[in-house]
Amino acid sequence: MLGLGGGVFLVPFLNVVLGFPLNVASGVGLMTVVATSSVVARGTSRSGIVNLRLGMVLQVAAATGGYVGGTIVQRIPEHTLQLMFAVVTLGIALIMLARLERRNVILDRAASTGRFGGRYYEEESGQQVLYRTRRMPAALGVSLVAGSISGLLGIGGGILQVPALNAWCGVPMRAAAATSAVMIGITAAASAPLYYGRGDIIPPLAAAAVLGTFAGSRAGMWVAARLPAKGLKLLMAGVLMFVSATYFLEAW
Amino acid sequence: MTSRVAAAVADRVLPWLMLCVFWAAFACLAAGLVVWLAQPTGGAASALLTIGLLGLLANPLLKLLAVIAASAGERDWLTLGATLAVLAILMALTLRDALRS
Repeated sequence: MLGLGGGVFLVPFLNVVLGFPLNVASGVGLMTVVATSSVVARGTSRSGIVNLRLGMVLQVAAATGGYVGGTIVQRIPEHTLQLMFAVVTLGIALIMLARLERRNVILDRAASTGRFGGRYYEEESGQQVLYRTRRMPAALGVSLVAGSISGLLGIGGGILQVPALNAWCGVPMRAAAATSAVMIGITAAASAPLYYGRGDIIPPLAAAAVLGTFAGSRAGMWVAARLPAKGLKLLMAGVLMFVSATYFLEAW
Repeated sequence: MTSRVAAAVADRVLPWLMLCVFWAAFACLAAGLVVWLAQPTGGAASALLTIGLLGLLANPLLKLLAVIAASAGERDWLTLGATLAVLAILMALTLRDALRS
């Protein structure tokens, strides 16, 4: 629904509430991200809502961030990093709340989408809408940062990418979330074999989580298609505030 | 000619393959979980769960291949280049992590 893959909630739940070690929780979390991504990719294959061109270009920055930035970020103390992340997520949440009424879609079908824009059928307005992507350098910068810190904090980059694409770059919430959901699945699928090889993915636990995610993702896609964009933004701002508070408390 | 073959692969073969792998993976995971609940130490449950998890992991990789084939078919060099770059970086990352562990 929000393009986060569910790991934001599942990993702390498995680790803190059910008492599984963090590496097992992260391994299972990766499998659920892959499952969400597969469900979204299947469910949106004909709608055009997933912007693969934009997603792949941003993924180059995110993957580069994961490769190069990961080693730089590792030199920053975890406490400082958590505090920085908490401040950034809170800032993005406030920007989202300030732009609740602003919509990024263009209803004029004849308008150009530009190089990184797109068009899709939107249930909310009952017609095909289009959008243009602005401030690509900002989008690339956010993706680079998201890729750098996501591995270290064990949290998907979508939590930064989706709201930033929506608030700064003119991408509608639904398109940003669907594109992010597909993209994070590709990164997760590349990391998961390592966890599997180390025995961090317990098959029955992963299967139960994946089957739950399968049902949840389908329900989320159904709700996201019908919920007004304002509702999606409010939900995203709420998740960002929850994540920000969690990291503030951890860093304290 | 090459772009026509790529377009045909992207349009017909890969979506069909992705659909089969997608449903087979979820069916194996569901069946594996049921068998595991009935007989936790059995080999059948382990085999079904492993096949299901591997099938699930194959989906995003098939998606990458589908994007490569589709963008090659449409001569969309920007998307093709970005996708190939993503594939190369992810392979380098996986290799680096594997060597470290």
